[in-house]
Amino acid sequence: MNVISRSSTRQRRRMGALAVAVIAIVGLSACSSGMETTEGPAAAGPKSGKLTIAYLQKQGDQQYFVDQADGAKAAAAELGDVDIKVVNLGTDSNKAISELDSVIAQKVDGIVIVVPDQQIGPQVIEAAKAAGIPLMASDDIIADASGTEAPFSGFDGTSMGELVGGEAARLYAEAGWTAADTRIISAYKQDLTACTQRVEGAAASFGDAVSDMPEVVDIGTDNSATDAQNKAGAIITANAGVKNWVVWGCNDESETGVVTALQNSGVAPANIIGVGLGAYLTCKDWAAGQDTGNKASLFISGAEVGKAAINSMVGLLRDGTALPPVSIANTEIVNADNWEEKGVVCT
Amino acid sequence: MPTTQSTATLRSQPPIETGARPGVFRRVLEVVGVQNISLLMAIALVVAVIGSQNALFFTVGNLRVIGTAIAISGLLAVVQTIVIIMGALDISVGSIAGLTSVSSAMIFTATGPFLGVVGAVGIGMLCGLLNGCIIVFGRVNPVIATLATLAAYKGVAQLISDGRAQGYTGADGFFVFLARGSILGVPTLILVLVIIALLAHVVLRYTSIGRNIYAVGGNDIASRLAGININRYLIGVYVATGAVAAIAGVLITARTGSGQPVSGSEGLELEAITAAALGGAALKGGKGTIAGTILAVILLGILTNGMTLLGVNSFWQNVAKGALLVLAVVIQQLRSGERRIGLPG
Repeated sequence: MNVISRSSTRQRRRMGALAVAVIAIVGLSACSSGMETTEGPAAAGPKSGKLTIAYLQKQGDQQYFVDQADGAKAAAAELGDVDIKVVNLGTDSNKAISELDSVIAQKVDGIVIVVPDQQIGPQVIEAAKAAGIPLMASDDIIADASGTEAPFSGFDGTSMGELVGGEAARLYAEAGWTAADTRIISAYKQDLTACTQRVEGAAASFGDAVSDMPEVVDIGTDNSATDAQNKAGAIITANAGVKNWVVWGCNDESETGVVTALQNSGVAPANIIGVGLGAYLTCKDWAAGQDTGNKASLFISGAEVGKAAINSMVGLLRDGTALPPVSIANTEIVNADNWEEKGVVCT
Repeated sequence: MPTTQSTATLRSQPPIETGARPGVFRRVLEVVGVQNISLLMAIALVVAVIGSQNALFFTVGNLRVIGTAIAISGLLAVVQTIVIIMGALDISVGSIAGLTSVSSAMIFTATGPFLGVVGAVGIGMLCGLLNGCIIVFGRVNPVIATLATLAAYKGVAQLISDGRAQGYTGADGFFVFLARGSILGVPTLILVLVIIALLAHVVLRYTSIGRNIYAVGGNDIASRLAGININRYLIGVYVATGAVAAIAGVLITARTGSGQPVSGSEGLELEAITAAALGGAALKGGKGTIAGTILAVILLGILTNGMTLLGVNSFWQNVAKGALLVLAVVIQQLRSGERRIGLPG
């Protein structure tokens, strides 16, 4: 009994000390609700000397974004005394915020960001504003909580899709196919807003251009060629009687994967109209002179977007030229005949 | 704990049927195994459900589609099973496949298909050797070691390719044969999987090497005392895993027509582990069969194909696959009759 009561007294005393310590810590440290708005330093005037610009990119390991980073670095080298810090965010919104905080802490002079998800736009804009660092969105438009969009350099997902759909419709009309013996396969990563915008744009412009719209079959892929190939196999089985196929997708991987699956199942290239997006994989068939269902592709030059973003950002930092609210880079449809002259680089 | 083990074995014994021909039933059960029978039943159920909704499911064309779709993940699942039987894990197989995919295409472009394949397999074996050495000589837990090389090998693949898809193999006879060819009507992709799986099955079941692998996974101290050179076995299994992952990489190149550093290989390691676990391999080692893994790969392949065939939304497909795995492993655990104390093994 004695032992137990003594140990419980000691325990109670220890708990008391702990409670006092906790109260002291809470009382002494300044509390933060996280809701305070910090007024950032006033936008700095023109800067001379070395500039560091952070280029944060989603899916930084994809060829398009690698090109974009190269374009940004090339522009920086041309301008002189500009350092580009490229950060790969993957598809992780949480990582995007941490990396943003990190470059802000490193006191970079400007930030260009391709967000993994447009929903994080308000946080991104707020954080850059609080730190007084100019921010530019690349590829995907972002807006703050009140709906004001950040300056943007890149392409417009919907209009990219519209060009793809328009080209597919043109080839469809040219081939003289009918809705009855045709199916459209639309392959994309279904939880990516950028992808849905593209394929919806494609379907809309295709529908506008033709009088009878064939049935559209959506395929959810992880945006890789192998997955598109696997999923398309089942769709081809499910539509055994179909003669002609129109294919588009979120990127070249998805589109070429479906076209390969169609060709493997015995559909002749003449019965496939595949319109890619990016042209970096479709060009491989063209370079090899293959008879292929990949008939055309929308060429988007990541390098151009990267260059444009860095030029605008350096213009603001050096000369105080305001960032242009929107700069849409050129995109164009290329095919087996003209891809080289249009500047598609095929590795 | 010999007592627990013996009760566990007793409890996992299937009740003997007292029907008309108990002998036959028991013999079949012993040859095929309860685990595999339940997988076969699951496959039959899924096939019946999908087939009743869409008769096209049963066409030869669709069976080929399912077979070629599971070939790459199946290869990785087979070697993952061997690694798991040894009581280890290899998370880096997807990255090795990516690295070898892009390097096979690059070597192919520079030299030719033969060296492309040989070079890729060589690189895969080197990656496996490195994994094995880190684990054995660095004394690092296999999960951590291969988690590290998962990132490192992916990085190397991106470095050498500059993040771009490399080369074009769509016009080369050998790569086209791998991707679309067939022998006696069986697609090459499926044949490659069948050959590797048979090889692994024979080694595990009928050779002393296989028995020793089970022994090391079952009880490493006992097997060391019995004179098995554990380190040699660990390194050997990781080298073999690297080689097979390289073959998977070559197949990715063949299927996509170019070497892909990341696309198509990312996430394959999880698919492989899923299939092995579903097939009855115990992550603590010493248990698992190639047949079980192959049946699990087929089940997953049929499920994916069938759900796409029936137009099931891809988000639901993920939920269905996850639910299936949970169900399977819970049933497995309950059947094993393990002690219900602490963290499950």
